Amino acid sequence: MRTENQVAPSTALPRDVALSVHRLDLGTRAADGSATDIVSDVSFTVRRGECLGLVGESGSGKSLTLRAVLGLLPNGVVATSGRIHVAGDTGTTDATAQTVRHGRVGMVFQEPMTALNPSMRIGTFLEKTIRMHQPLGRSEARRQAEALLGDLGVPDPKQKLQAWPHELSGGLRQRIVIAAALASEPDVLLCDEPTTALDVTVQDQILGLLDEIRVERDVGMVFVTHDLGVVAQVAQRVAVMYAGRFMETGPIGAVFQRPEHPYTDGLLGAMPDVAHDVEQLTTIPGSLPPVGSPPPGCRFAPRCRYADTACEAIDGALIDLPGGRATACIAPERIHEDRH
Amino acid sequence: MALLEVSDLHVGFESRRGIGPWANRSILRAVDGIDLTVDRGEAIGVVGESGCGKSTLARAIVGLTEPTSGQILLDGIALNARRERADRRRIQMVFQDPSSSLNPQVPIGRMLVELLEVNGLASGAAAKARAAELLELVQLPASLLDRYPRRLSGGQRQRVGIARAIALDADVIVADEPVAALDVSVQAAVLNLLNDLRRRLGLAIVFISHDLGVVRHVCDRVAVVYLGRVVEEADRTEIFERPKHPYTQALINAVPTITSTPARLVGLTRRTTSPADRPTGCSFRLRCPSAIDRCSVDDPARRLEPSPDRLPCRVGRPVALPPPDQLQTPVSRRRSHTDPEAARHRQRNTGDIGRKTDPTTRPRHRQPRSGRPISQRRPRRREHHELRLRTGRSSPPRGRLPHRTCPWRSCLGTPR
Repeated sequence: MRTENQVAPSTALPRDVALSVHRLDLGTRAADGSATDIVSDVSFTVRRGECLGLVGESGSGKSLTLRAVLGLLPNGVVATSGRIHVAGDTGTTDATAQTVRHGRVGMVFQEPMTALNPSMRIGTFLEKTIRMHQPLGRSEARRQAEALLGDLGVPDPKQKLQAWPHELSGGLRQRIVIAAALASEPDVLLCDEPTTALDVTVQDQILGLLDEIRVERDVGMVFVTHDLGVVAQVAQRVAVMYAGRFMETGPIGAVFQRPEHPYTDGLLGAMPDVAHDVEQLTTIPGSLPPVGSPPPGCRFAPRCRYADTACEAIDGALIDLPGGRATACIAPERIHEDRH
Repeated sequence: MALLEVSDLHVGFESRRGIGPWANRSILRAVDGIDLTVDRGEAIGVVGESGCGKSTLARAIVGLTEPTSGQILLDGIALNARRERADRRRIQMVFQDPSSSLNPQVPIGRMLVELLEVNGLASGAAAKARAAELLELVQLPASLLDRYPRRLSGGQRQRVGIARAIALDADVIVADEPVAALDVSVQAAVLNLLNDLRRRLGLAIVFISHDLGVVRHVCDRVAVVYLGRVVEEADRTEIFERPKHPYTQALINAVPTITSTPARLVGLTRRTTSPADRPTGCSFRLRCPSAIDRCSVDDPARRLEPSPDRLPCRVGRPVALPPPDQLQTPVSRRRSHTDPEAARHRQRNTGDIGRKTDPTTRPRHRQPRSGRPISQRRPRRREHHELRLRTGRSSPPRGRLPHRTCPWRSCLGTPR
């Protein structure tokens, strides 16, 4: 395990950076002191007005990473090392301290129905959220909630404040959740599969809305999803995660056009395309390694069609490539040779 | 002859507000006259937004929901509302969420054996052997037979769900969003498996999904459903390359892909309409970017003869066209003057997916504070409308009726 002094002591965040996560490790600690790694060595920065997409299969650790940034890790999971630096946040940057970073960080959850309190009217909920962050009276907070809903394209916001969550449609509920996330005027907006529960037509509206928010409010956004199509619509950069590690990072167009990691390549091949007829989808054989006992070396090696003995000896760290990209694969050229 | 034929299928649910004699009843028509045919070895996709009636259609085909009217024919023979066991066996379903559709207390091997025994297809050792064979068909090792569902991964569970559906030598598989709960790499494997089984066993598949990419991969033909009606049906290539109906176009445009640049919905006004609050004429016209005046008058979906390439839209491809000069005025400019209903809709839902139970959208025929008790009043307007549809009469028969009886009573017969 890494010790504290190996972590880069980057105390001052550059002006245009909204969020910086440095060598974050997450795991569980049993009573006897034995630790299991769930997420290892995850580092990324998000600039203001930029969206980073975090993609991977379920169980790859994407949502946990988000929760670590917010400081809301589920019971039993702890950050074992790493630094999390949020712009404007004066608290500690030590990830192991388990600080809840509400205020500077907003989060949009996957299932809007469970994110809202079913026994609270929308107005009460938003009012309380706003008053948590700003010293306002109730009527002033309510006015602000109304203005916020108006900004988010909610029709008739005054009337909607009187509504109960169950009376609203899915898209509208998700707008309320977004409004709550924006109530503290955060610098970082975390989105955990915000459109998975929605229809394509509504999803399209929500993606458009998030895009507007990112540009207009100049927030840094992290967008977690398993849908590569969605990530291509909202993100500028992407990080592909597998079994708790980053496999590949880079600008979205380049990564999807010419993946430098066999896992990314596999994901892209497995995706049915609405624009073309595909005879047979390529599949990735095998399944995710069990949490806590990853294979030695590259974690993807047992499922990788290009893997050889050298893959079992690497430490899985990202290797920088030109064009702002990085891959954990030691021989990505094998993918391209295979294509020709 | 088609293997499975769905003809003019209607499924309605009674929705009730209030209790006892004060109840405000209305019929929610989830499936509103759907025709479909599926041949042996063919896969037909049914797509649409949530709430459009696609799952109700699936359940009606399998026999889990009783249709209000219309027929489901298998090999040209109409199925009874209460199906014979032999008929039930021939149409099987794959459910969306494999973890909730498998019994957590029964190992999957025992589940399959029981299924075979109850249906009298095999018993004892033969049933066990068949169960192992079924797992092999869905590319699972026979060693999993003793496993409980919780010890399987999501993809494995869904394969078991498919094995269960094909266990009784079904001819038709109705798959209701079978891959919606799966990861993309697992999803690809399950889709490939479905395609493979279809080829090997000659299965007909009714594939319900909201994911158009998945549908394009699996299906030969696609039917697009909007508010319980088919608005476009065509071959896969035709529908994805040259969609004609404005709704199909909007759906396809809304699918995010890795190659397309971000393009927001073209023209589709945002509000979804619910089957309880259906506009007059074409159901889609209030959201349609190219609706014309005539769309509010009658619904082309109503009058269409079934054919392989159906398109109930007079804008996409003319159906009984009015003179061309009347066609050209886009409704967006004229609607507010000519169509009070559209204006009402727009006013209260300025460009958005509205509140589901907006107070202003509640049926207007609520009980007045004063006046005669509800039991003595005439049926409300919506009920009149329903009764007109059911009886084919424009008004109830004349004549004096005893106190508290429905004027329509003589034409209705006994309720089902």
